[in-house]
Amino acid sequence: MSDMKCWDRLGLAPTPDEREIKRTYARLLKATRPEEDPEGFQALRLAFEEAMWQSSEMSRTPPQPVVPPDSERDPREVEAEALLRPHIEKLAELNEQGTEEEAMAKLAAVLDAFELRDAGARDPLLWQLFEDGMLWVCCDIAANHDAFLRAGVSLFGWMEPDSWLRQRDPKTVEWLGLRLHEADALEAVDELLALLDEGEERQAMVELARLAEAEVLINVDVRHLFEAELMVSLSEYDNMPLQFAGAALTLFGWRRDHRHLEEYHPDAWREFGRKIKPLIVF
Amino acid sequence: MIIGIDLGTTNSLVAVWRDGQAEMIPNALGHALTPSVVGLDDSGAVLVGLAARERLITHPQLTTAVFKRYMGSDRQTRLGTQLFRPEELSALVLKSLKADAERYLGEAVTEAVITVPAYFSDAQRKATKIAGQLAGLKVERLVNEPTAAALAYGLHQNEPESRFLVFDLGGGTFDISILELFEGVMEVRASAGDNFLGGEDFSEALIDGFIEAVGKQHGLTDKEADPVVYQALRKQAEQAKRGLSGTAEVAMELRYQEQNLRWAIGEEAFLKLCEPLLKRLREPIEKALRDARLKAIDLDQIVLAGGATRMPAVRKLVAKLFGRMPAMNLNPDEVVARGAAVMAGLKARDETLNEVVMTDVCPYSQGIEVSEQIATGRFQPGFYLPIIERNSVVPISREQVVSTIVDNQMALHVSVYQGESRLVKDNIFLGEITIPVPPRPAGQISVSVRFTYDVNGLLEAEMTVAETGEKHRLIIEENPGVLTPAEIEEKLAALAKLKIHPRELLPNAQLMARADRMFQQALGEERQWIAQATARFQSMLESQEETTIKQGRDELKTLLDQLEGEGWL
Repeated sequence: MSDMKCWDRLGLAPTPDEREIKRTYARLLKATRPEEDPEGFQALRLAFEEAMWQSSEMSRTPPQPVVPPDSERDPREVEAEALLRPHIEKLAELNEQGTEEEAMAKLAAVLDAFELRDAGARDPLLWQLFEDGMLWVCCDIAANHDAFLRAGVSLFGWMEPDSWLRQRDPKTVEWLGLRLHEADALEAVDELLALLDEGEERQAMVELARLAEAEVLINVDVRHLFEAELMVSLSEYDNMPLQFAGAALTLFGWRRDHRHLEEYHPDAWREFGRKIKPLIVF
Repeated sequence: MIIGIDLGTTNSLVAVWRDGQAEMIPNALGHALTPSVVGLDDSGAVLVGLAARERLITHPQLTTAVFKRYMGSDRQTRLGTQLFRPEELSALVLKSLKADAERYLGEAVTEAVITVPAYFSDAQRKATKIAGQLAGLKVERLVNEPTAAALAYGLHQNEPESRFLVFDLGGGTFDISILELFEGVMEVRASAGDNFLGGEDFSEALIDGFIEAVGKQHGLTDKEADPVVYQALRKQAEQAKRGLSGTAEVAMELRYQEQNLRWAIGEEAFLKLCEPLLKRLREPIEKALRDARLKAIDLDQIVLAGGATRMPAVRKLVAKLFGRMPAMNLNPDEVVARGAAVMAGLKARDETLNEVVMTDVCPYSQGIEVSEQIATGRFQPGFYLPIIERNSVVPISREQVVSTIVDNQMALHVSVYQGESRLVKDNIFLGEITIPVPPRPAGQISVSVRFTYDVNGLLEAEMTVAETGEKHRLIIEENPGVLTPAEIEEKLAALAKLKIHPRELLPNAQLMARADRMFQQALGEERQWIAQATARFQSMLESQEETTIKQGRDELKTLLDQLEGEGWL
């Protein structure tokens, strides 16, 4: 289907709004049911898929969050927020660009500077604003350090069964839980690499076989990330530990299905494939 | 009225769409579940359902179960002196469900929607359609089981937009489907599965564990050597499977050669025993998520379907795999049948469903065998060229062009396969056709191969020779697993000759079969009670007075329930 035809079939002007495309498709679909009009349906479906693809290619501006103007807020809150904001932004920056040590040191410094450590003595309003900021750093920025995330979770008890966050936003808690599990899995990758660097390939293989069955990798998303990060790390070796790589291929079924690895990092996958050539032909 | 049928490996159900909702139809015993078990009674009449299941233990030579696993093959089962194909056995179950529906609705029923595992192959789907035909039902539509489950769930969703995954572990098959719901559209994004993994395998694992732990030391080494022993063990395993949860242990008991064998097992040991089975659950989930390009965290809900998802071990694993608890607000035994009823309502254009449309996908790729050039002028056959990619939305029609590879080639051989492997030998063969082509230099004759895959999951292939415009159609029916039209006629006549146990007498037959089975399993005093009560009921049956018979039935049922608890449906 050429560029504009799909929009004609849907009766829409080209739009990046996926919801609008879906709505239109749904309306037309009810008059072109797959079991009643197979040909009409196939044409409609083709137009829909093409339009969805084109819309994803168009540039989109993300919706801006609605924040009430300062004039409508408690002046004390505005003042406290202005005080905290640069520190929260610094924490975000250190998570995205700095080292884990730097981020953790800054966190400790903020807790001390605003006297937030003692639950009985700290200012409740300041604590609440700090929690909002920390939640943003832990959930919404591009990257954060695992230790930092763990510290946030333990400071505010977000993962507790009766936390306010779990009640108000269970999806975020679910997401945080996944991130914590992912952090454990990434740690496991680091330990494997350390063994390999020490020349303990045998032992690394034993450990990998254990991990393949272990609780830490049961979750499908966690396992996905573990496999991908392991592959990327292996692709960087000049001298590929071939037996270990072979064990990974077998234990995680990469011969059968490696689309997730390819999608995660196409260049690393190509490099990995090149380096394990002596082992197998894909 | 079109009925919706879940033709399961272990149990089958029938439902109907009426007054804007799915309604389960009870069988002659008042149950929604009819065991997919077929047998002959002592007079040679066909028994279906619970009565037949009771007789699996007492009359194993006259009774059979789990035949859905052989659909699409020509494996025959002997009952007494007669041989039955899996389609015929399925047809007998369907006939029984049809009779239940006719009684319940008070009208003749001739059309049905039947569910099949998403991962059923072309031959298995055709066999299911033929089973319907043999039962006197026009199969209006075959629906994938997880899609049906999703339809039932989707209608209960309050969220206007959501994505969910249906985890359907039935008696014999395992299916995963990922769906997206928006504006009344239920869109299947991907399906994957394992046709040979289900609750029955967990029972088998328990039986093997029993043999290993206590059977062997008492001379019981081959579980299938004695059908009576095997069926008694299956029943014990079935009960144990349901009880296994937390720290409590459950016991499996067997009377074997004058000895009482007993084996207690806890949840942890059970998990160890089932580890190879539980491991097989992962791959289809990963495959479906990757096909749908989604992460588990993107899903709004995990939905359970299929009786085997009642097993606590399975539910715990699902929770760990997805990092959240699965939803179970519909009865997992009934959810597929309810979805089949929704589909029947859609098919009948019921106006309460005007705002609902469902689109499904083909769960596997389909293509042809081609030769690839490995050096100049040297070709090697055996390569697979997919024409329809798996998880494309159906119906779909796609075309590929192939050409001749030898000078003056006279014919072109087209072999059709389904599967995902690069080499055809690792895929499933569906059918083949040889088409004549005019002699020309190599590569000058091209043939376009068009595959059309319909909403029922059935495939048609059409070849067009570009030079001559000549068209050839491949009817993929010449498969040993699929009956030809002539054979269907023959089977219809054979089935018509079979005597069916009268439906209204089924409650009595079921009770007598149960009493016989319990008599065989019981000992000493208990045995005497059962014998006396059975004899008394027998004499009441002979009185032919409905009130007396009903009273006798209640008495006997009360006694049996006291002895072993209420049935095990």
